[in-house]
Amino acid sequence: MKFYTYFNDDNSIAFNVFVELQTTDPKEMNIAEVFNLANISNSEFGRSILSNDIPDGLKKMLSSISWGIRTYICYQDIFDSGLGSYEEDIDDVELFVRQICDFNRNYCYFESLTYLKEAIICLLNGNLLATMVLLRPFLELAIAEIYWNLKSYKKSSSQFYRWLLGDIRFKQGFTNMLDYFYSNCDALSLLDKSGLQNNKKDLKRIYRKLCSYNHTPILNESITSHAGNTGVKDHRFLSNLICLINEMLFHVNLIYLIKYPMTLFPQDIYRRFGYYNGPVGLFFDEFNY
Amino acid sequence: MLKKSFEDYSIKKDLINFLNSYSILTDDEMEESWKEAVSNVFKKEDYYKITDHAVRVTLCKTHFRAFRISSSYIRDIDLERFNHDFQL
Repeated sequence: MKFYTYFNDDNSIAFNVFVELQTTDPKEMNIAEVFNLANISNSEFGRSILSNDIPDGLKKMLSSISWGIRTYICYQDIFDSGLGSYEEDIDDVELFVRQICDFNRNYCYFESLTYLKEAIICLLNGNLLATMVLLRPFLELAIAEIYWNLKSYKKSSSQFYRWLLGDIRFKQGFTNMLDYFYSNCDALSLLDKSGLQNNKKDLKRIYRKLCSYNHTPILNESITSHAGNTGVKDHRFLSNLICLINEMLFHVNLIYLIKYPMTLFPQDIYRRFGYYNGPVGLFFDEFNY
Repeated sequence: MLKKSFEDYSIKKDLINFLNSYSILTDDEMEESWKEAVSNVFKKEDYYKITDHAVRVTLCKTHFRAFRISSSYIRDIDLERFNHDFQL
């Protein structure tokens, strides 16, 4: 590909949408296929971890990551249309327009998917430090999506839009967002408290771990001190990273499941509403899993 | 186990009741609905020929996901046009 053909020459912004629909039991897909990266020429390292010639434990873990990503991708189907209530007397017209039109409503979720995809690309190219660095914004954005949704229903969506448009007074820390979710999500009352505490504790622990690579790392946190500076040479670092991604996806998917419990009760919505007249989100259809 | 915990969740019950308040569409009504979707949403003649339900659902889902992601990234809003359209 020539350099200049890589860019859109009309300044348009393109979006890729990936949809998989299974009419039988879902089949295995590797982590490159999940993001439709099969045609991207991965490094020799990437090709080797996608091959069958890897330890069984790693194979199992990568399969679990692939399922985790596919599950996370499915959640976009159940998001409801609005971002809760809005303030009618708001003096900022742009903010008001965004609120009533529900613009940008799933920005955090889609942005998190971008980071996750880039992290997987880095992993397949053997750039483990870059993978690690990209996972923190993924986790923050994934939690921000449900935080702002919940906050918007409990109060109003104006704080979300103010933050989105650059008012840093409304920027939320990861721990605050997580604590808010655990204090305000209605569905939590039906669940086992100790299990929830573990989920919350684990997410905070994973986040702390990821933070080390985003701030000035101390000697023990330095990837170079563990893996050298000549690329991927330390299999322990790789297995720790793979375990971390797997664990993080598990907890993120769990928290989304608690926020959207209807994922557990798929419905034949097309037979009720036809192909395009149904409610926006709210249900999983019979093809989601 | 989680599914069991949510069986009696009031919001789940409300949503299922809401769904059940709509009758199940007949095959003819489903065909009509597909024609409407092609004419109003997809606007592609070839799509009328698609009969497989799963393929139709995939196309609807693709359209819907595309709408979601693109509307989530709207950066600039033409307020003048908005005021005109809504006569503000």
